[in-house]
Amino acid sequence: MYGNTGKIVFVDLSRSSVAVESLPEEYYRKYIGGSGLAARVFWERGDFSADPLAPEAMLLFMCGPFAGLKMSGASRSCVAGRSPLTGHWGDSSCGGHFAPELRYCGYDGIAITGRAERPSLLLLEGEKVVVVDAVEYWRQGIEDVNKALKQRFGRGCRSLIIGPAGENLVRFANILNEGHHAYGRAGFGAVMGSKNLKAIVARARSREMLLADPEGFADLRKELNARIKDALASQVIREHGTAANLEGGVYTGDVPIRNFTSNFWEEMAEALTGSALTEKYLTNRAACAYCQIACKRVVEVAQGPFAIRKGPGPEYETIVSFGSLLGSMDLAAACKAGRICNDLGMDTISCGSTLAWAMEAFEKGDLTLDDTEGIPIVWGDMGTVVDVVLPRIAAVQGKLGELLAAGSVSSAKRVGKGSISYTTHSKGLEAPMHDPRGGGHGMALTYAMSPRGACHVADPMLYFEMGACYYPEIGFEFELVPKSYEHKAESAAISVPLGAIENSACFCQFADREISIPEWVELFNTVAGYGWDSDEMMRAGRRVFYLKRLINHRYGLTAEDDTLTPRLLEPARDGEPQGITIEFDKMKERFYELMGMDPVAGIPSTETLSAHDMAAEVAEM
Amino acid sequence: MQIRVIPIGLIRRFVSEAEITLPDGVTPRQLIGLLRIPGELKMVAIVNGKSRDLDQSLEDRDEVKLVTVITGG
Repeated sequence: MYGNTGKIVFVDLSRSSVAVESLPEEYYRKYIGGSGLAARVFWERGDFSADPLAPEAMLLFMCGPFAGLKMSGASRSCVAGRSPLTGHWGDSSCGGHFAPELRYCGYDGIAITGRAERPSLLLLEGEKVVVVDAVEYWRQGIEDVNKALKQRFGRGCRSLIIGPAGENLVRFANILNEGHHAYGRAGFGAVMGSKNLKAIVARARSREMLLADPEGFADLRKELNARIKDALASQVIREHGTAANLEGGVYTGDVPIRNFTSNFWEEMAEALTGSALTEKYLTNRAACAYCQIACKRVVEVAQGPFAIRKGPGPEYETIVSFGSLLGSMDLAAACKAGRICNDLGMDTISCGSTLAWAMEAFEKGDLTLDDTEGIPIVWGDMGTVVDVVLPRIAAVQGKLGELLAAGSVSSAKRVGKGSISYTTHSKGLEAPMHDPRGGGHGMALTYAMSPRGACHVADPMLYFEMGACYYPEIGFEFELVPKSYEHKAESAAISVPLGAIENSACFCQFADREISIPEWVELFNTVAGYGWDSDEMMRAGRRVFYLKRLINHRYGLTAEDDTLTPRLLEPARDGEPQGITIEFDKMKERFYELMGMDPVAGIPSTETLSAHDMAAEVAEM
Repeated sequence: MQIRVIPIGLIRRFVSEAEITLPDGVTPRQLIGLLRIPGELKMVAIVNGKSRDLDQSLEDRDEVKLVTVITGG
């Protein structure tokens, strides 16, 4: 097999057993790698009756075919399985440095079931895989454990670590690589915690990889890496991070404010934008493995109530989640909240969104001082968030910690009083920090269609709507107007499979916007030797999307779940999108039609499945 | 006519805030071209606080905020 190694490590923590299996090459041709290949393995071997936090639940980590190949943006990886936050399919992508190391060890992925008797870590040393006692690291923050693992296993080792939030089964607990790069969404840190798995450590011995056309790939890589590095968008986010144009986003209504109740706050725009972070707190820029863009921030807040020493800094999602979403324009507070979430192991988007819901609930009187143990949860009070609330959530401490650690939807269901109406999610996953009413109506559609729930990186609709890319070879050459439904279903029918390809190839969306469709095809063919054309590549993308939809269907989801909460669909109250209605139902109906999906069940029709060679998967249903 | 141009966010990279003199009838799209803002950026013009069609002529003393929709995630 070229590119991929074909090998997956299957670990049963209950038995401390490790088995290496080779997957059929057909799985890779059909599902690529990353979240697509994870879905295929989960479909075949996952226990669908298992609670996400039960020992039987399967947790998967997967690389894409380009991991470790020194291609800019192409060495991400994914975690996947049944999400403890949403109860259905979840996957989450992470940059950083783990994927190349896993690939250099000789594996495309790891599938973990069972529950270790004692806190443990999984150690990959070359091809050798063992379960090691990790009691000494339990209850420690990620930063300290990351340092301790480097001391013990060498500076070159790469690790995935959960914090106390994962150990305590916070439903939006995350997993961090190098204490900086997160598998943020969908709560898989809690799944690791439920398995008594504190960390996964990889240390490779060899870096040899077999490619179908090494010279062809090297030529293409040279050209693409240079293009990715020099692109205007890359220069901008290298200079000021992913929040480089946050200020512009405020003026278009893309940036959510106070739990999505407002779409414009002029004063906040300048205070939180990327150039402010550069000027006030940036000490260094950093990059994921082999990336030419370097969008990562290293920051220090020297003084004040939110002082933090030099270390990982926030990106756009964290700045907004702990900034305008909570009614705050204190950038230092966002830096500190992000740092605390990194160390305790919590997703900043779901955590910020749950807090935003709580602040609105407190303001409305739906959440009382009795519910919050006497702690006022007030818009913009970041001191309380940072010093009191975040530690309680991670520790699941007291009434307040227990309530919010379940995420916004479960919290709202428990509190009642109609507070569910102002949660901001799709399928239980809190929406990211791009408001589709201002950012673009197509995102409302793709948030709703994303198998894991509201997600801006499941597909490139965000970029389609801002005119950042065109793909005439596959029919995407629309001049989209963001705040309109026109051509959005047609665009989504292209962006959704393209996003499935990106997330299965484990490619960064900042980097791959510079790659044309013929070049994508050439990448797959020179690395993995698939002999694809663009039609076959897009068919693989659709197949990945369809399989995730089938998985969700087995968890009871239907087309009724393909929606957004009322707050995200009601006309905006101010700013650029004020008063504009999203024609959501029109887009949704047309999307199902274009994708060959049943508009009631929300899954591909029999004819569609047949046209995508999915008979074997249907037989396994 | 006199126009006040206010770049927002990323657009500050290319343009500084300024009062400029333009021929009558210039549109925001033409203004964006005159200012040599890269054509690859999808632009929004906010004229006197309200979003304006890029092809609708500006008027004397208008205040034009230039915004691009490019964003990170």
